[in-house]
Amino acid sequence: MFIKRNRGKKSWVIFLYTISSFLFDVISFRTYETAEVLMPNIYLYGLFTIIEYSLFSYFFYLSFRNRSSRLFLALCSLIFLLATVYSIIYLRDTEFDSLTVSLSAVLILILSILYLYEQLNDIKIRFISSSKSFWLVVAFVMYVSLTLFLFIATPHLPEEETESFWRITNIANILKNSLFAVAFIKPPSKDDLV
Amino acid sequence: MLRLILSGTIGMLTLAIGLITFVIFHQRRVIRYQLTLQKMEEQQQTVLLNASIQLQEEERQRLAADLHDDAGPLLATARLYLNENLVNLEKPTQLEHISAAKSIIDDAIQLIRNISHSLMPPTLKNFGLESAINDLFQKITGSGTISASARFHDYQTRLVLEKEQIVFRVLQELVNNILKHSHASYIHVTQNCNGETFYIHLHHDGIGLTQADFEKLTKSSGGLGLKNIHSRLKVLKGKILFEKDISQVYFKITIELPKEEELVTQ
Repeated sequence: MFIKRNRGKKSWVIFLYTISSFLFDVISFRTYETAEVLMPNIYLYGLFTIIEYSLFSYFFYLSFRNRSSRLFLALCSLIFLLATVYSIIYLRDTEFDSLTVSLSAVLILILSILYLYEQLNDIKIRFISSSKSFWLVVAFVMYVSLTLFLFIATPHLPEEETESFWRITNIANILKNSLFAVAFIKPPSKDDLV
Repeated sequence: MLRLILSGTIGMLTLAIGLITFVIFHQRRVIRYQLTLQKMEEQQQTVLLNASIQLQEEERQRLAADLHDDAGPLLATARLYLNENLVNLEKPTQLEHISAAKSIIDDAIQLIRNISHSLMPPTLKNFGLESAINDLFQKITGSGTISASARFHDYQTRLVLEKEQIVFRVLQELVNNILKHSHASYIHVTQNCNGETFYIHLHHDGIGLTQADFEKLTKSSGGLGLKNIHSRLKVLKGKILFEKDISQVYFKITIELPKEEELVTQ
């Protein structure tokens, strides 16, 4: 039933993201237990941020219809790439790469707004909420808006407070995955089949 | 810091929920508006279709009446002259009867030719829109009550015949309306092209319509001829504009058509 309702590429991109997110959570939990450090190291987070941003931007690439939106996406990706290179070179010693993660969250938020704007300007008569892509974008927006401030503030938090604040990301993850589930369960509309 | 993170996160969450709610409700409103527009357009299409059917029906009735009331009695009279008794009559009387029958049959032929020409003017098919309009205007001017003239400035390449027929019918309907309702003393038609657009302007000095009157009449239950003009021009993706001339003395009707299917060369 899952395969039948999710034949479009976009659903599979997000499905791949959920799998990688799950694997990352398992690995980071194991690292946390064995290394007895509060946070997993920067490379693990950095790698996940790159995977997350790449999959989300590929999803937007498949969703955008206008050439200008795709160009904007390319520009965002370039900014993200530059920030990643900068943090690999200069921020190697920090525990949490706040710059890349926050920038990725801001870019995803902007791209989500652009997607919603494009949908509003679409003259076809069909409800936006009937599309899987809409629910996937809602999941991105909710996840990003819940975690953005936390990602920005993490380097400035005392270590003992970090863990308690980290619960916000768990709530954001539950909400995001629930919304993904809604999108996967929904019957596909024409727009979902790329 | 705690307060900053919490208030920031709550603020962002509120904004996100607000944004999504706005998008959903705004889109619903837009869809409702589009559906209303679509419904109105469908209603308008139905009105135009009904007008077209009604006009066809009226045309058939007119044809039936012409054939029944004019051609029927003529042929029946001719038959009376050519009955079985004709052979028993004297030769001069026979010749007289045959001559009378021949004359009646000639009248019937002329009548049928007139009916046929009113359905599809041969000038339009053979020589094009310009000649057909000039032909029509010659007949109108010949009546002596109104002066009608036409001048085509840029008609080296003819429109395709189907297009010419539609434009001719539209002009015929407009001229009929002017003759019936406007009390005009003259009608003048000009044609020109501008880029990819073909224009026909019709001026007259009688009582005319403005665009508002035209739109009102095409939406009302009456105005069958105007509805038909509207539906014919819709087929050609054309526009019609009724206005009072800048001088405020004449009424002007502009027909605007895209030129893309102009194929037949004169």
